[in-house]
Amino acid sequence: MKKPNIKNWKEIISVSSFTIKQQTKTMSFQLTFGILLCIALLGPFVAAYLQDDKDSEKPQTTTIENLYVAEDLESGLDIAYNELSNLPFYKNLKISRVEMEQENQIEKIKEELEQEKKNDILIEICEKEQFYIKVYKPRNSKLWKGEGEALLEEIETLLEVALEKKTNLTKEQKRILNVTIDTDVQTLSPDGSREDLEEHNGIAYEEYMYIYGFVFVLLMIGVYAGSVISSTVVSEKNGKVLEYLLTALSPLSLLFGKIIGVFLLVIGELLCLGCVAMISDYLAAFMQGMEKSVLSGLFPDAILQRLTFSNVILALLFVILNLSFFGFLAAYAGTKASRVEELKDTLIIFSVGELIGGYLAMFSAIYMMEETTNGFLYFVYMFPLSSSFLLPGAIFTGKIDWRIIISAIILLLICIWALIAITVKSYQTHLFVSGVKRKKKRGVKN
Amino acid sequence: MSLEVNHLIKKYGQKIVVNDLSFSMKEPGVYALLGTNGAGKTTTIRMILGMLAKDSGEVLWKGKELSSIESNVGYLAEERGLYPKVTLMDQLLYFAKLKKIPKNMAKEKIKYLAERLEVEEYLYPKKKRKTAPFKADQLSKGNQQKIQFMAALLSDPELLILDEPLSGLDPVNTDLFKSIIKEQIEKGKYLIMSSHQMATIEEFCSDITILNKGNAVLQGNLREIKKSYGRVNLYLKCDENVDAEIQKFSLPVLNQTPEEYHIQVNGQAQATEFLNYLLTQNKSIVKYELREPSLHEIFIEKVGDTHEET
Repeated sequence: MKKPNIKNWKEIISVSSFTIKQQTKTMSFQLTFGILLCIALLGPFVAAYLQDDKDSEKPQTTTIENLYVAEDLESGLDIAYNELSNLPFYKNLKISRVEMEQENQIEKIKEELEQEKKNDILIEICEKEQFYIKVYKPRNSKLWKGEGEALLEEIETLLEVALEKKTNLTKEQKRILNVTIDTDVQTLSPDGSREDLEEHNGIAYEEYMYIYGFVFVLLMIGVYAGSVISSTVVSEKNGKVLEYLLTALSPLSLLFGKIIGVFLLVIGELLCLGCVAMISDYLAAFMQGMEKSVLSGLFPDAILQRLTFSNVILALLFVILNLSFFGFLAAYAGTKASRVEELKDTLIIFSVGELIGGYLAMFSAIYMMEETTNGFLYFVYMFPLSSSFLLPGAIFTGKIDWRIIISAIILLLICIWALIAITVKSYQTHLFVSGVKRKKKRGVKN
Repeated sequence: MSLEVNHLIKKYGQKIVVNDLSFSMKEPGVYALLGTNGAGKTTTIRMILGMLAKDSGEVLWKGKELSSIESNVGYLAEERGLYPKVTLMDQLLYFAKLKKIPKNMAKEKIKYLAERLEVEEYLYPKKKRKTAPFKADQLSKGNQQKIQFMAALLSDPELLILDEPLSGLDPVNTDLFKSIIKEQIEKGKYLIMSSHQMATIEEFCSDITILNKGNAVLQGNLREIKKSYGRVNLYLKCDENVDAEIQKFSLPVLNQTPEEYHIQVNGQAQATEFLNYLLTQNKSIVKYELREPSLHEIFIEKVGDTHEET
């Protein structure tokens, strides 16, 4: 068996380009890609339309004509609602106070708002153990749709100012009162080294969602590419083209070419869809007059801050290792079958591997919100089935030790090497005989 | 010596599929591998090409271990193998690329072979008719075989291995294939051919190996093999009945048709004596032919009794 060398790479590229060409001409690919392209193109527009964005179509001045305020404040806070009139946006606003005890009057205002389709708003502010602000706005009015939330923000500011006056506490003093307490235990060694024993170092929800997204995308690529790889391997065997191909290149070059071709196709497809979605998202945000697009909200700031060169390279390396590992696992499943119908039996090993790896990574991502250092997580970080799913995203949280990363890479490389050897061996063994058939025959004999 | 196959052995479990097979081709020409179904011909070919691992033995091409990837080897498999949903031109160009043939050269070669094998209409559909390029699954088995033969010939191989090249072909296409095989022989190429069509083998092959259950039961130069059997087959056609004369000489009749006798003699002397006797009896002889056994007869003699379908 000849291993790929510089000369072989030309053959591998030939196989890859042929695989890509062949796949792009299939009806299933064209149909799936067409549907996904439509989703990527139209999705952001639909999302932007559905998003109740307070900044969309924001008028120059408020569309509220009358603001009714009903207070029930035990502490006797004096909220300066008239300050609203000093803001340019609310310069035309008429503010009227309503006594909370006059329930009839409040109900009357509510009825008027509902039935007469007025552009008025009623606010109720209650104070029990905490402050509670409620806004009533008529359903069939011509009010700007973000008016309620915009007004709430301003009322909250006025309430904070009133509280400061009442308690004589500055903002800094209030911040100190609200500050959270974190704990940390360290061991001190005679050599001067210090080691953290306990630390709450879980990841944020946004970071979890990011890891989850990464695992999800890798699973999608894996499942799609795996089925294509295994089916092309088995169809070449079934169609007897393989006999001709093997007079020109080695089984290893053929497998490499296929796997690279399929993954380039899938990654290219995803990049294309991503670009279309981003452009569409930008256009949708621009056309809807939104300050922030729908997609931009999906990337947490903490992740963006850790988007360093080394992290990107490491993440890419894990993605490549993931694709190689599961690509060869799919190819192995393909080599064990001689007909497409037999794939359902042999593909189980690939499907189970993908599911175990993907779900372990997803479950661990949830667990990582609690903490990122415990025995189970160390296992998942390094277990070859799950590490390549979890680590590409987890690296950007900054919570994974570099020793774990290196160990995971080494373990994955060893597994991929072993898998390649097994797959090529199986390819040669089952070139002209089905693995399934062989087993059955042996079974009958026994 | 250009091709040397030494002590090839292939086992599947306990079953020996090819047992210590050796042969060589010193000169360009056609070497025939004959045998019943399951005799080990295709397994031998796959081992020669390096597709199938050998349990022992070696295959040398120009003194070095043969690698079909590194050497210029063409192969036509017994079973049809093309991508069903890919256009014929695309797959031929792909095969040429894998064989490292420059694209322009490959296109020229494809055009030449398409003309020779009369498949131009499938490879170059006329634009006026707006016919889409043909895919393999739109062709008959015979035409698919032609495309595969083209793929085998694209690199102008020095060693061409043909596994049952004429099976399933109609007489017209058989002649087309034969003409190209002859062309390859004239070009001084080395060919290994397996076939069940004994007449074709006799037409092309200088050396043969007859395999039976993995064992080489007969090997050597076809002419010498035949010579070793001697001229013991007498084909006789007379206007009158000559049963009595045959009986007088106690000659075994191997086959008798209304037209002709096929008689076994023990040599040329006995045949001449019998002829002289017929002449003295004033028998009008229409045909008198004394010849060696045919390959078909030798094949039947060697494997006929032990043949068993697998």
